[in-house]
Amino acid sequence: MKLTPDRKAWKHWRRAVSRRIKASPDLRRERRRARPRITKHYSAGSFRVLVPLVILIAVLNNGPITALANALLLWTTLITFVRAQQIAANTHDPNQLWIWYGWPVTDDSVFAHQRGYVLRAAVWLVVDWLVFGLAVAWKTEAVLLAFAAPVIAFTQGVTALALAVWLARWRPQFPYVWVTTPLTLLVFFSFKLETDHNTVTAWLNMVRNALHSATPAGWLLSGWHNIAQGHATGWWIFLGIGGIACAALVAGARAMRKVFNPDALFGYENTPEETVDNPLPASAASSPHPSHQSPESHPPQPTHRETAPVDLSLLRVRTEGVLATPPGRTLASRGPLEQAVTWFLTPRQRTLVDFMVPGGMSWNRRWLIAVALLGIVVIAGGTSSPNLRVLPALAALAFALPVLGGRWLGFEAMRTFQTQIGLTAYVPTGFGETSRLVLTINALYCILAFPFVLAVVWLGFAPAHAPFTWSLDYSVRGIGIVLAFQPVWLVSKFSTNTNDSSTGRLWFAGLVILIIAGLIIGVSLCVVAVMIESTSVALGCVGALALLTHAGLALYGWVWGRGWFDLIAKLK
Amino acid sequence: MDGVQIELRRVSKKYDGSKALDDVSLVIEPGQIVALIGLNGAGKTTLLRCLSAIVAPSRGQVLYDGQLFRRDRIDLRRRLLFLPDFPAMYAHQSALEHVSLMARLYEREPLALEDSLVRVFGELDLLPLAEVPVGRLSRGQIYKVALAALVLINPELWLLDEPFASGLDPQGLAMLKDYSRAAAKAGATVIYTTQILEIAERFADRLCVIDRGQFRHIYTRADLDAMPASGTDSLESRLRQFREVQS
Repeated sequence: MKLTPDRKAWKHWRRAVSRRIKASPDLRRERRRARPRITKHYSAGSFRVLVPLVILIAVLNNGPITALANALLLWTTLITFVRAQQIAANTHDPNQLWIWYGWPVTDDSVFAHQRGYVLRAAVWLVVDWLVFGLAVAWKTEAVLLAFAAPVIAFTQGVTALALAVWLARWRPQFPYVWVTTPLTLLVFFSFKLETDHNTVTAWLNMVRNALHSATPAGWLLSGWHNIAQGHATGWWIFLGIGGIACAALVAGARAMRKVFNPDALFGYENTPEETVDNPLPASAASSPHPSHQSPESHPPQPTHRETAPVDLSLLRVRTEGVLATPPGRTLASRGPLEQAVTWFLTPRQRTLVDFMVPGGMSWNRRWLIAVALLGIVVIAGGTSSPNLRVLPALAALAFALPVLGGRWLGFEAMRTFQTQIGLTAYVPTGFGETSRLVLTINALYCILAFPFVLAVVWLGFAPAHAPFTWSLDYSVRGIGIVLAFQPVWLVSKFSTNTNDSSTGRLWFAGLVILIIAGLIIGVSLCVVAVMIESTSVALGCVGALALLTHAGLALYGWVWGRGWFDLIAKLK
Repeated sequence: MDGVQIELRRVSKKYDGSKALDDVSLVIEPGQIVALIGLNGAGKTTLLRCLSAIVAPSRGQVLYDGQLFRRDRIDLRRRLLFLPDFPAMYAHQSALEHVSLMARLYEREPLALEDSLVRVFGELDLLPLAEVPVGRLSRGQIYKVALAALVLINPELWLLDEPFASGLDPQGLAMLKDYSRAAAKAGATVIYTTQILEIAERFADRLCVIDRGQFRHIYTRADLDAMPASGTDSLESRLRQFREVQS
């Protein structure tokens, strides 16, 4: 069964409705009142076509082929994680599936519909590689490479998709999108800094070499280089990896279908009590589309036991226990680190913590994973390919530091049919106090994490024979940059549940210009802070970056407070 | 409770060029129950959102006790509570935890509310569910938890979006009316939206009819009492006229 609208019928009906409206002046006036000024919106996805175009221009513009191939390798890794996130959302996120809720459609039809979305999106990576392969073949006048272009494009696409499917199958809840931001920066640096010879380039080379050795996309690229040099083994690499990827993709799709169960997502199925621990907003967690919800259809009703008469005196004791619990408990009760951080917070901030992170921070678990990854860094450093240590070192840093601010559930939203409204909009909390709280906690956390970061940089990134001060220097710079970027993350979190970027706002055009200027200055400062040898200049750049981002945060808070936009966003 | 005087001064709100509110002016004195009624898309919910700072007016001002209301006026925001038809709360928290958290966010001392809490939970049949995660409750029960928090916090301005279509059972609906009357008697202002004429006619000190973003009629209690139940002058008939203009 096709789950897409019948466009033919839609066109007929549209004409019929228009005829009726045209015949009535009242209806014409009402339509003018209700119709938005701009009826067509372009999403960021519309610009996807620019990527192959940039690749084409870069190759034909005598760009260094190796650098481009390496950038494309990073791009493929990035897209793999993006796709994994998309597949996980398409099959496990109730927000993506609510539209089928209560419709007489089979799970097979819904799964096929969702699969179609993923497949259509996945074609773009094939196009990227195809454009790259054909452009290189045309430029180098190598006929063999022209034949190899569709083969590498297809195998890269299938391999990336198969990996994404299995990642989504393995851990659908994992925030794969976290990996994408640092990878995006790597793609940028890899593309821009090929000819430079400094510490950063050497470090980027380590990352690229690690990806070459450790990812199927890197093996396929090696195969392509092999063909370019006139060896036949490249074809066998394509055949082998492509064959395995095709089989893995089919098996992955079947595995995904087995676990695809919308009934469980919407709570049709009975679940044991212990599993009810989703800390998302109640309506969002139980049904993302509350207008489709009715008391009768809401599945997880309290059991008879729960609605039985209660001992009032016992309840009074428990009530008193809950009400007397001091604020900040959700953080303080999680572990010694969190408890230490709680000491620095005011009573109001502790109450805000209970609201913003009701489930606690899970720092202990993150640290345990980071320590385990550090162990892998040490082991990888002792192997014949020491560059491999970079990947677990990056992962360890991602776990140990609030690189993207951490998981603050208070920024979640209540979703209705068309809109989403952030939880913070419903309670009297201010922009300033919330921002200060997040910045304070993340800063304290970074300070606590410093010894660990130092260990990771020393064991994972330091060049051979580099003095210990090198690691110390870059650890301070790294943590400084992470802290300096926290306001950017904060603004993005606040902005998600607003209509600040709606079209048709003149002031927003001015703000966009400011943001672009700020981004250019910020990225430049960041690049200098990482690349320059002088520590004092680097720290000055970090300080300037922090000043810039905090000024941006203050400006955003100012317009937030004055109501320049609404705390309501289109459903994402 | 002193109550809060609300003044809407030529408030307009546009979404992508379409007008949801169009030059609306109104003064509401404390201690009233105000019903907002109108066709779908008339601007009722937008008005409540403007009053709670979720939505900012494109033009005009909202004033509380003569003070300009803005989103950064946390002191003024603490004097109101907006209860949407699907209240926002964390699924893993129990009703007790939710109420306790809300009380703290509104700077109320939770322990001082204990007796009231047990009473309100009892009246809303929430006592057996007090420690059940709200994610396991039905829609009506979730609304009762949010209503309990509202009653215990007892702000000066109650903003209720479609409370009579929120899944509440008859006992819950009766209690909602009782709580609202008690709050209004104590000086609070209760503003709610509804589509149910019978409720709006009987349960309001003022009834505002909104159509295409404008107040078409504002009836006092005396006007409503004098209005016939049927015929061309009835409220139902007057509302139908707006629909007939559109079709």
